Amino acid sequence: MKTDHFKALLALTILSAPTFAWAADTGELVLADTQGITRLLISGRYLNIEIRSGGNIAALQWHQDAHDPSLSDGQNGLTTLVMPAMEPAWGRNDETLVLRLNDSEQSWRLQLQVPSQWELNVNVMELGDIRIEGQQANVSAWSARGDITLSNQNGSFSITAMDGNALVDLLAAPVESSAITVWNGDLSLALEENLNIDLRILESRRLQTDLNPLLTATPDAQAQGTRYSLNGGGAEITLRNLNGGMAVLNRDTLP
Amino acid sequence: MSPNESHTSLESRALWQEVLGEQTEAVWQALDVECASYSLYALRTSCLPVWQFATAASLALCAALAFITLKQSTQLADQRLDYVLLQLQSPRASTQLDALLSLRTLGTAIPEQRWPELRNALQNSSDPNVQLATLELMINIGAITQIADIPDLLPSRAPQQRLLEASFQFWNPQEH
Repeated sequence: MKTDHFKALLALTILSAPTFAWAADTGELVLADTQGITRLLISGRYLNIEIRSGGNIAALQWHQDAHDPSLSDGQNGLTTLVMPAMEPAWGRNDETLVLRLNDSEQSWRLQLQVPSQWELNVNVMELGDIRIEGQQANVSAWSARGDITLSNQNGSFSITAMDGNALVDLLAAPVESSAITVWNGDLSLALEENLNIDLRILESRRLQTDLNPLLTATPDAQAQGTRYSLNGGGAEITLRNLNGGMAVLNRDTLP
Repeated sequence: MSPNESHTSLESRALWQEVLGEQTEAVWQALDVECASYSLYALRTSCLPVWQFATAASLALCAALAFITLKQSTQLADQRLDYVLLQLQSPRASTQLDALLSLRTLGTAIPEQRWPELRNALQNSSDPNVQLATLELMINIGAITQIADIPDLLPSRAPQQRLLEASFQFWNPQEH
């Protein structure tokens, strides 16, 4: 009788989590209950992250990269054994859904689907790219080494690429202050010509653009940086690039 | 009475005589006896202190109103600063950037005793743009004058620490 119970329990376990039963380096997590959650926080050391908006479902597909350069064999003839990683686990802190991989030396590739109204806070502390598409809320993202791409963004944002490129493609003018900072790389902001915004350019003295309102705007040189009011002005977007190019592009003429 | 005054008085009397006609003598007598003396007395002894008092009272009222207005505007500025510094503690980067934009307009009006709150924001925010905007503000108001003034961040925020220091050196190339 006990053996039957054990077999049934084992079968249920395997059926309910088929991916985790045999491999911990890839998998999928679906969060059924997203009631009351308004914000997602993801942080880790080696992460490549893609986030798409979609319905009311929060889902995560994850994969631990097999060819992790940080774990390659050394020249001393020793072989590195890679331990199976624990699957990432959602946590919750009030209205914030939390996914932290800060203690992991492994490199992770995460693909997420989240409601477009969720605010996102994504941090990559060592290496990895961040791609976020179609959010309609505040997005804050930074990567120590990697590119950051924000496309079809409809909300305020704060983006920092310390060693990589940053591209933000705006659908609508943000209602709150926003900023893009690049340390070593190129900075691009694409937007519609009719958006009401104030652009504040810091550090960089050269700006490439094909945006008519910017070409005709009168620059307001300030103690730090230069300010341009486009179409009467609006929320301020600060662009800062310490070493690299800066471009403000018309998104209608983007290839 | 000077000759000029006498001349003017005579001219005036002639004009009144023409207007008043037969009643001239009676009117002048009445004025000389009653009203004129009373009017002169009243003007010299009572009316002038009243005007002086009214002027002084107006000035005092204006001063009081100015003082009240100044006090209220100071209180409002303090309340606004409290509110903006509270906004700076928000977990949302855009709210913090909005707060820093408001603080930038206040500039040197931020009293020195509130500088630790800016320092906390610099130290505790997880967003590099918020930290950079805070650093820029603190440099502008004189709260940070050398690279050593930048607070030490948590070890997990080493990239931000390097970014802050690089930005400081970018803005102050003579500092190392």
